[in-house]
Amino acid sequence: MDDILLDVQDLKTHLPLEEGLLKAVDGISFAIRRGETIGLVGESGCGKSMAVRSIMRLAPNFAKFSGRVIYHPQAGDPVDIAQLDAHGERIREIRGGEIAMIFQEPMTSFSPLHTIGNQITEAIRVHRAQDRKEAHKIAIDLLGRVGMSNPSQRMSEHPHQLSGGMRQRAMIAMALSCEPSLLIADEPTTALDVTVQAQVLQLMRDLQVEFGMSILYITHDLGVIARMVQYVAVMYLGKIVEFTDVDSLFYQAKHPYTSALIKSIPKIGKKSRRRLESIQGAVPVPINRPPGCGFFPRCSVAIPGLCDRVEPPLVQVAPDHAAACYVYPEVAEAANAPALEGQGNGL
Amino acid sequence: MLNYLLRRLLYMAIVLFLVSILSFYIINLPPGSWIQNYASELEASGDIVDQEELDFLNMRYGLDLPLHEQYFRWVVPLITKGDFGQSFEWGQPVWPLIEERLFLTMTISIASILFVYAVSVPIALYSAINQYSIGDYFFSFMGLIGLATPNFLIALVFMIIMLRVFGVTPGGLFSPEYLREPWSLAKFWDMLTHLPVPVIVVGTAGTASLIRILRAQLLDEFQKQYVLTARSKGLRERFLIVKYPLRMAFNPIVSSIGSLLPQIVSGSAIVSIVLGLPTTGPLLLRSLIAQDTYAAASMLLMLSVLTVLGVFLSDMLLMWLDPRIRYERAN
Amino acid sequence: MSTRSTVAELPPSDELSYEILSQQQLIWRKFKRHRVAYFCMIFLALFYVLAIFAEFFAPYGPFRRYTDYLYAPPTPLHFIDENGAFNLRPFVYKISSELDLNTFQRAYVEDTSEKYFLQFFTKGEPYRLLGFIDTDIHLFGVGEPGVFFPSGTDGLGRDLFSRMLLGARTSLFVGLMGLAVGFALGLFFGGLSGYYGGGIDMLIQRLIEFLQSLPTLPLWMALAALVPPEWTPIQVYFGISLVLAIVGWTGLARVVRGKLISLREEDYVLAAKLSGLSERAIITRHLLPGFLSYLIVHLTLAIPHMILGETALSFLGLGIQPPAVSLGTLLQDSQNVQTVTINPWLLLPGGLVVIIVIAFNFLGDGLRDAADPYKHL
Repeated sequence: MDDILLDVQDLKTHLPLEEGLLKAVDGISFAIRRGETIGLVGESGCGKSMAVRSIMRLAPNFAKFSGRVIYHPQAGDPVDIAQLDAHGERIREIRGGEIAMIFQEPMTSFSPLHTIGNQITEAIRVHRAQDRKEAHKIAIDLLGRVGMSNPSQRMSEHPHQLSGGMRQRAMIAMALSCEPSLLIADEPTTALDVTVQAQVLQLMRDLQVEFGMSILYITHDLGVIARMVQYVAVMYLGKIVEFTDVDSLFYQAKHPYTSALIKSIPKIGKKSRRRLESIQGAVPVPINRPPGCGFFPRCSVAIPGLCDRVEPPLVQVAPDHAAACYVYPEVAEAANAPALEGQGNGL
Repeated sequence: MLNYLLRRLLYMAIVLFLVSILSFYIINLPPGSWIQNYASELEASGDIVDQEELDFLNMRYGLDLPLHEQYFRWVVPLITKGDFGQSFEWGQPVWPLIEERLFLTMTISIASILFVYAVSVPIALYSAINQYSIGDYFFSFMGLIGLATPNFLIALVFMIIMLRVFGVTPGGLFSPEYLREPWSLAKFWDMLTHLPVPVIVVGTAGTASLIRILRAQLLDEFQKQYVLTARSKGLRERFLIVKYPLRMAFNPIVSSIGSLLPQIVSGSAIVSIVLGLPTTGPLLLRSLIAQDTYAAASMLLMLSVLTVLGVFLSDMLLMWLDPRIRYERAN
Repeated sequence: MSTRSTVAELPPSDELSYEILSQQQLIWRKFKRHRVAYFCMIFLALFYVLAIFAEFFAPYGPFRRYTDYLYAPPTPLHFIDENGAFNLRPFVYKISSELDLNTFQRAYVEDTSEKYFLQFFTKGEPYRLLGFIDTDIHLFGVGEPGVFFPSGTDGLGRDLFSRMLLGARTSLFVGLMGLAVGFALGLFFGGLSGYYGGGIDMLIQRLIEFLQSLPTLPLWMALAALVPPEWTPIQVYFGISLVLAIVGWTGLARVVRGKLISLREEDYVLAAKLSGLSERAIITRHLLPGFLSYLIVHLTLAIPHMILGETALSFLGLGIQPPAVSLGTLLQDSQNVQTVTINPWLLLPGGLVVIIVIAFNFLGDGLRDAADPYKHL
């Protein structure tokens, strides 16, 4: 793998709560190449948001955090973000300057008391160190590029004066203001109307080409995945259970959880009057979880005695396609040796 | 905007009008009147009660009129001439009697509010940033004690400490040499040096409750998405806390003036009684017991004017601070 | 109905090995984990028992005067006697007073020649327990002519400890009474306002705003001055509760209203309406459980306000009137700074007020945290 931008290895974020240890992110590994878009899918509560927050070192202070997050800047040596001081100088340079983030709720993501302009120029002035006027000009230009009408007037408006779509555009403008090499988008269109959603997605794709950046796209919406990304990581209970390119995901899903997810998408054109399939049961509470595969209680192909004992590791089961399920002999094989030592996640 | 202001002022006028009626009636509800109290007091001390004098007083103050007529006798000159009427007990006009006391009440209240903010904002900020630290627990505990101790008890304890440690009896707002002097810069300065004790005593409960409110508010704000956004922009933690959550938390602080002010005015009344301060509190207590209607009603009304005005000002400040409220009110 | 069928198709919950707790169980669990609040609850419960049976726990009657012991300090309780021998049963020495001719103040000294052992279930002043049991048994005391004043005496030579227990009863129950009245008013107006909205809501909101903008204490003072002096202590007692309630109900009404309005907008209430549930069923089955916990929290936090209010009023001489005893009237004795400075134990009732109020605050805090069992950070 060449030209890697971000390499996440065995990232763990555990939250010690009153009720027990919450393994929000439990050893995930993936890599993002330059200019590439990767999707991170999963149900709510599977740990995807916590995962990207950990990458930015924005997880809560009390979280236990381990693993490696190697970031390769355009110029200079690779840096392991996991080793940085979470409040230090370097991580603040990276945040916003090299890796930017946009969030699900465009309403709450902006401070309601400050103008849009104030909040955008603030980021520009932190990273590009320009004077007020120059920053103002850059911000107006950006607002125009994300398709906002009358950008100079928008600058002095407050968030509540904008529509949801406009706010999300402003958010994108703010994220792109320092020309980051990676944009992390945490369900940016979930709270928007479908038509607005389509516009925002199109905008992001256009801007990706224009800025030449990578995108890490987090969503629970498989439809958005199909339109936006090249590679997909499926997350379940803090782990990646399948990793592949977007076509293989939809046509040759390997993990039973992924297959179930895909079956639950309503399809246009099919004449059947069958009920839409849903996945049995609910996501188990990830606190003090029993050993074994997290999907075991809901799985239709589970092997009792194996799946409920040892956690299946994520192993390559086809070219460019990894899954963590014992129905594939490769997985059982890989699990065997380390399993004896009590280790779940080898590769 | 202007529309809102006018509505607000009209509302204030209505509130004050209702207060005037309410206080006048409440004061007159107990059986008997000032004249009867006066008569029975004379009788008790063995003096001869001059029926003619009583009749004259009754007529002069209109105490034999129906209550609503008495009310109008008080309120009409008040509105038309700014005349608060006569105090029965002191036999002189009410306004000069309460003028200086009102001013002092206001001074203590404002100083107490400033004290409350000056102390509670930094402590709340510290406690919220260092949640569950030893300092946080310490301040929380102190706050709890401050909240649980009646004002007058704090005043008493203060006085005892002063008496025991320094051998001085605190109390009053002026040194003896200024007591009967007219106002001057020196007298004002003398008053300022006497302010800290009453201000601390009056402000303690308010400080404790504001720390609690503000700490919770800040902790709440820290969880908000926009703080995460600000962090993800790479802002310095200190800078962003002041710019966003603290600024947000200022809204409830400012609007808390509305609840803080009545509390402070109440507190200063009782503390003044204990510390012997020449504010409205002790005089009001005396007038209420003596049924000195005009004096008591005037003071209740003026105290309400103070609080209503304070709430109005805090509302204006809030509008200036929060664009959302401005926006809402403009439409 | 579609919602029902989906619910029915969910796998039975015992299939998963999780404990399913009811809301109440969750609240109780969470509450018990809040150690301080739990402790305060037990403390307050014990204290109420102490107050209800005050005459039994008090060694002396509240009005019994020991004229030889004016302003006597708390009597020290000893285990080790003058010879250094340890006694399992604690005792007090005889107290004798001397007039200091320089300061003209009485000084009390222990006379080690005579000692009186502490006795339990002793016979003392007769009283009527709970208003109908005539007895003269007190939990503890020392034999005559010995005296044991755990908190000293006041200026008339009355045992402060006994008076504090009785005073606490008055103050605690005035608080509860005021709360009950205020609760009824708050529930009524808040419910009206929150449930019907519109013009009624507008009117009640203005009324509340109006009452809240008034400075509380002067209003209390004015209202308390209303209580006629010829009333019996019991009447005064109710009168003061009423006064406290009239000013205190507004906060509760706001809480009820706010909660009702937010609950009314909840999806599950809409769902209940859509599935044809009656108004009554919606209120009792869905709305009430939703804010019962909040009500309890607010009630707990309102009691200390009532107690502080009573104390302040009585301290000023506007509340409970002597000879009736309350924590506030006891503090009247400490109005004179000179006296308190010389006899600091006169402030003990104040300390008791502080402890009670703190306990209620902790309890309320614990309940508030517990009332939201799903919030854990």
